Amino acid sequence: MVDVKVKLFANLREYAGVSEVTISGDTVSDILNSLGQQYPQLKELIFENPEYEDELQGYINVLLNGENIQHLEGLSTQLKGHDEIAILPPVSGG
Amino acid sequence: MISENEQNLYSRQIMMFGEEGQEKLKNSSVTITGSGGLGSPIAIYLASAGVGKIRIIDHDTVALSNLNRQILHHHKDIGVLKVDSAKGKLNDLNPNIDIETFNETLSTDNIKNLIDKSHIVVDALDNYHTRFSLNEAAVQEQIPLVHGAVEGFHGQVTTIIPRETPCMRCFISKTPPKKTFPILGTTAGIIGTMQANEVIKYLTGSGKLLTGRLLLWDGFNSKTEEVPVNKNQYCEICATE
Repeated sequence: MVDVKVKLFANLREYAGVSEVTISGDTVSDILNSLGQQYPQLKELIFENPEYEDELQGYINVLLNGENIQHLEGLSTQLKGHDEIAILPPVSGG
Repeated sequence: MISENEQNLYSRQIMMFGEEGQEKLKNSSVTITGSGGLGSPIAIYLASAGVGKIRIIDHDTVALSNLNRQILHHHKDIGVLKVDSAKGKLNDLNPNIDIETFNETLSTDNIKNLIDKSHIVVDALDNYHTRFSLNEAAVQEQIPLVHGAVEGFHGQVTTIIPRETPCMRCFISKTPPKKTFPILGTTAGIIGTMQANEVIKYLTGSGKLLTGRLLLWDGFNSKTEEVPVNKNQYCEICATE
């Protein structure tokens, strides 16, 4: 297990009441599941099926060191020390 | 050449980038896609800075509920085409520049023609469906694009230089649905002003652009942060370019 810094943006940080947390895990999925346990109010914003926590909510973007995890191995993407995850809900207006 | 009147008008910024920089602005053509919450401050600051040709595309008419944030439009403009309202204000603000307007809805059919011959394009759109079409056209035509988006107290900005930097599709994977979003005028003002600042830097060759990084504004906590964004080597839009 490695410690990774997780940054929350837009309404996620308003729901969680924090903008940054450090969480341990081996994969992106581990990190997001732990995040959901610590801040249950985030589950339905992050996961399509909050009960199963197996699929990302459609429009959320999870960046691992600047790469969208959809272009890596998705939720199964393996983590290493000093990784940084940014969770960005869509900000759409203009 | 810039006139004596223009030397006086722009004297405080000529102190920053010289008459040469001012001439670059005067000889530049910028397209702003939208004249709403973001488009208003973008157009106002680019016009007042002396960008020689500003093209504005919008298909909408001014509505009462626009006026909390769309500062180019006033109560007397309700029901008027936004491009006409915008053109009137910008001509008053700076009679030395050309304002070209198109009352059209951007689509894959017209987007390339509408951004043609622009030195840079500014995203002042309100949905990702059109943003992704604009992103694709800008990458194909190799026209730099300043992306901005806002919602509530939050906003984001990044500058895309085709072939050099990631495009919008590299870091935003899916197209969120169009919706009525909450928005405060100050959020749009802050993000639109940052976008105009990027355009002025690009055109004058000043400073460091917001490339390869997404700047995020959190007006609720008064914080700016940035996250790196990397080129996706398999990006369906920019990888093959």
